[in-house]
Amino acid sequence: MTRSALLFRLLTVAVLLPLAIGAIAVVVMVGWLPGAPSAVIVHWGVDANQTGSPSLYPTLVAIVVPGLAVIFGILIGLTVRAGKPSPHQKLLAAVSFSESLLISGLSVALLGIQRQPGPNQVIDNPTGVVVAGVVVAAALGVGAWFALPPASAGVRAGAGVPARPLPLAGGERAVWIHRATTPTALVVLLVGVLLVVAAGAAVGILIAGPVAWIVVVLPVLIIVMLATTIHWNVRVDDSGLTASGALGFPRFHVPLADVRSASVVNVNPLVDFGGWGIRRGMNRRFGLVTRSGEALEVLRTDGRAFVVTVDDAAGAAALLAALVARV
Amino acid sequence: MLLRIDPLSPVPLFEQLAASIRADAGSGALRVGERLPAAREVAAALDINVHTVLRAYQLLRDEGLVDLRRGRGAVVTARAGEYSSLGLAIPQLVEEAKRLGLSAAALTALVTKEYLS
Repeated sequence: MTRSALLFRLLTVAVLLPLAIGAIAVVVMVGWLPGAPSAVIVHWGVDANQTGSPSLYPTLVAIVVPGLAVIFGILIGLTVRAGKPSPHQKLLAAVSFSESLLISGLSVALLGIQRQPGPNQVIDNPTGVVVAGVVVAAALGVGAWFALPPASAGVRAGAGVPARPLPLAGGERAVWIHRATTPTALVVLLVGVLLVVAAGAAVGILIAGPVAWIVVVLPVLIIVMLATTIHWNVRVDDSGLTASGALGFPRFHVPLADVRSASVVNVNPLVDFGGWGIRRGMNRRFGLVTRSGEALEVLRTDGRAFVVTVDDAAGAAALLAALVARV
Repeated sequence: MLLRIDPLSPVPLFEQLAASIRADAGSGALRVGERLPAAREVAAALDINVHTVLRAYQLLRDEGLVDLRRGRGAVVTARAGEYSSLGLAIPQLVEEAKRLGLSAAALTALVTKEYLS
């Protein structure tokens, strides 16, 4: 399939259908507004429900559905190539479709129930409606997955050319050490996202008080995860391959005895691993992904592969090959 | 970066380590501003004394190839860029020696003689 044909199929599911669904939902809900009560429940809380203008429902759909569809569309558009779609691209498209259905459908259902004034049992506890919505949206998302062309098999483990061993004298000892770093632009982006989350947390604490512990825990968790995964110290020595996070943890180790071969591969984070960080890719490939481009891939004896995006991957692969050959 | 030592070689270990790092600077594998690995990590991986590694780093500091700063470790200076022309000349030299059938020792002797003259 050509790139443009595939892009059209994916974007139809990820962007065009969600936009159409959102538009229909907005039109239906706006049509209800003249006869609706002046205040409807817009937020269900543990202690009390909040009410607001019924126009909040179509407004929410009109903002969130196109916004998410555009984000999913960009993520897909950046990575599509001619041929078959990657499973990640199909997943993004199916999730975009499913999520727009859920938001639009739930909004229509919840506003529809409250359209007529008066007490209503369903609206006091809409859990059943929400669960039903999630189930239906998920089922249709699965349907969207199968409606798309079959996914590509992806890069297989150990696809690279095994490195030639570095010439080492009999008693010679060697160590290869390098830092796998995240490009500054990406770090700036991540810090920006973090600041937004932190600002959200601050607002949450101001509004909800200390009860909202989750909004405090979340940014702290994200800071720790970022700090540990934006840089990796990668080492090849006679114990094998070791990669440890910037703070010394987490630590990943491939013992020399488990190494079948080492090679230099080219990594495209979104296509091969669905993103950056500590990643489980297709075909039993595990990745520490900080950037696109050159990476060291170690094929293990059990067929799994360990990938880390690091400069001078050729040097690391050659030393690993030499150490394996010597055992 | 690749660090290698041969315990059987008559050259002191710290000299061998320093030579490894100079070679990386010459080949461009070591960039300006890059930090050398922690001496502790290198010592553990090569099973040598940490003071041996520190002595190699101090030797390179005296040559101006790295800056030693407390808390920052050993940072490669702009001098590393100047090593690249040397890094280009050496393979040519070795290739020429091999063409003539000279041993490594013979080439080293020639280079030493030229250096000291």
